[in-house]
Amino acid sequence: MLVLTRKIGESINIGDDIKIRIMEIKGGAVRLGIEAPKSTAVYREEVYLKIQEENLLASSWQKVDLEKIGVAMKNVGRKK
Amino acid sequence: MEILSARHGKMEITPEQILEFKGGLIGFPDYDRYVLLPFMEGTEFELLQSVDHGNLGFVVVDPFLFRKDYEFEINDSEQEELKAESPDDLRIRVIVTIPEDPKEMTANLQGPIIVNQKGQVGKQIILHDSDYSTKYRIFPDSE
Repeated sequence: MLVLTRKIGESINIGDDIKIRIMEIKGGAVRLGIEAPKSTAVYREEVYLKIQEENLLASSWQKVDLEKIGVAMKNVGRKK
Repeated sequence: MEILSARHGKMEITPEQILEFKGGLIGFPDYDRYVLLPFMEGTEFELLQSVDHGNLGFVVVDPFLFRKDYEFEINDSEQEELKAESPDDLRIRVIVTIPEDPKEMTANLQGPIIVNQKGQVGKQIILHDSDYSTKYRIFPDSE
């Protein structure tokens, strides 16, 4: 891992088109400004990991669940 | 064309049904083609099935069925990626996680799926600054 020291207002460039600027440092928190191409997704890590974990869980449902699910789903339909 | 789903058996689909998810779903970058299919008769649930991997499929549902006040904004780049000319082009779905007891099933409201069937694209977006849960109970009052 590359570790760099930066001051407020300074930036780092990643490749040709990603720039991260240190905007503010307050308490234990750093505010970053990120410039990146639209096609580059920028995520807070903990949120990204949470979504990833939930996707993995959601993908692992089993065929045997089908019948039970059918019952539960009909209940949702009724709730409308 | 035909796809074979582990959960759903053989399914006949047309090329026009295929949705491109650029970069895949989060955690599944290798699979970027899906179809959105009715799942079980008499229910509101649908199956987001990978075209290229029969074992990969997600149960999804229209979140407005159980959260009428569900709302979020999509930014310009997401809108562009989804080729959305108007909000009417887009359908919103959320992925359902089904535990052993299906009454405890939850919906991921923080990572909704947006589909533009006309443009044949789809995308999972992350709502960073929302309080929506990844584990929202669909049947909150069941024991």
